[in-house]
Formats: sequence, structure tokens, C-alpha cells
Amino acid sequence: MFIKYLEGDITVKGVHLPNSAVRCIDVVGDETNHAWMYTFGIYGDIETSLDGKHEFFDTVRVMCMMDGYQPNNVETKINVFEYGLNVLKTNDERFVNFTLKEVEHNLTFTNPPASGESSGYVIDPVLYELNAIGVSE
Amino acid sequence: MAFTIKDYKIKGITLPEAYVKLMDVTATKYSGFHGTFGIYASKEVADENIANILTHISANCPYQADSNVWNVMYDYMKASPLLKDYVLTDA
Repeated sequence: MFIKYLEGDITVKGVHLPNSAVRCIDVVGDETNHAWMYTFGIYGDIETSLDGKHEFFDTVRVMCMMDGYQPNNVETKINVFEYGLNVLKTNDERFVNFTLKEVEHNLTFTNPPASGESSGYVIDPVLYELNAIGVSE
Repeated sequence: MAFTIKDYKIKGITLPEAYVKLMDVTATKYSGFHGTFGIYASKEVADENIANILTHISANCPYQADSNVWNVMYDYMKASPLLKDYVLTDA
């Protein structure tokens, strides 16, 4: 599995992050109206962003419209995340000089916890979305 | 009152001199007190905007008659196992 993310130089909360990584950590979608709200985490680097602890320095949100989404199509599910990154890079001046990259990441498919259980479970948006439509490793 | 932490590791990076200040204290005389400390990249960003907080750590202390609870809380925080590997300096 390849994770799309943005990489670039930014200072967040007084911390200079020369190789910061910005990746989607949550997406809420309206499949009928194709409206999406993304939450991106700004991390010190991509490795930290993938360790499952959500140790971001800050978050940024983007609301946008996207056509062509097909709920049962894996490719369009993936494209939702890349689309959000491009909207962020285009519309937020802090990220215009960032470059879109991808990194191979081994995702472990795990069922979401039952209601009331939350210990140790961190939802990866890509993982969660793919799992929700029945895609397995 | 505040203190600094030398070479504090957080979120995959190392802050040369993190700034720590007590944000709030809750609870009562009989239950003891709970303090929340904010960790910032520096004093400057802490003074600039409280939202520049990077993370927080907590401490608990008992009621001590005739003592300033904020001072006691600072002493407990600085003695916390969470910070045992760091060099702390009063700021």
C-alpha cells in the first residue's frame, strides 16, 4: 500500500520542521453531494506520521467538493485522499511549496473496536476506508 | 513560575530548550491537587499564544498547610518520573 503525503519546510508552534510531512488523518464524506471535509496532521517527518501514535504538531482542515467518487471502487477511495492533499496544497499558502510524495506502508487490517472499546486502536483513514468496503490484504 | 527542559524529545524531534509552565490546578484540599503543565518550543512562543502548546503533562500533589499549591505542584512536577532523564532549569 502506498500512502500519499505532502513534504516540505514549515515552522509550527515555534518548531522548525525542515522535512515535515502532511497526511490525511480523517475524512468525513457526503457521498451524495460529493462534499468532503479532510483533517490533515502536520508531522515532523513521514516516519513519525506512520507510527500509529498520531503525534502531529498541528492539524489543518479543508472542505471541498469532489466528483467521480464511487463507494465500491478502491481507486476512487484512494483518490479521495490525494484530492484532498492537492486542494490543501493549492489553497493554503503555507503548503504551496510542498511536494506530493508517496511512501510504501504496510497496513495491518484490523476490525474497528466494538462500542466502548478504544484501548490502543488508532484509525488510519486509508485503512479504515478500505476495510469498510471489504478489501483485505 | 516555569522551567525549561534541555534536549526534550517529543513527536520525533528534539527541542533544545523546551519551556514548561503550569496551566491550571484543580481539585480540593481533601482530595489533593491536580496540575496540568503545558510544554512549548520556547518561552517566546508560549508568551505569544497559548495555542502554541505542543503537549501537556500532569502532576498530582497532596494538600500542604500554609504552602502555595502552585509552588508545591512545581516541585512535584519537576520530581516526576516522566522527566527523570532530563536536565531541568528554573526559567
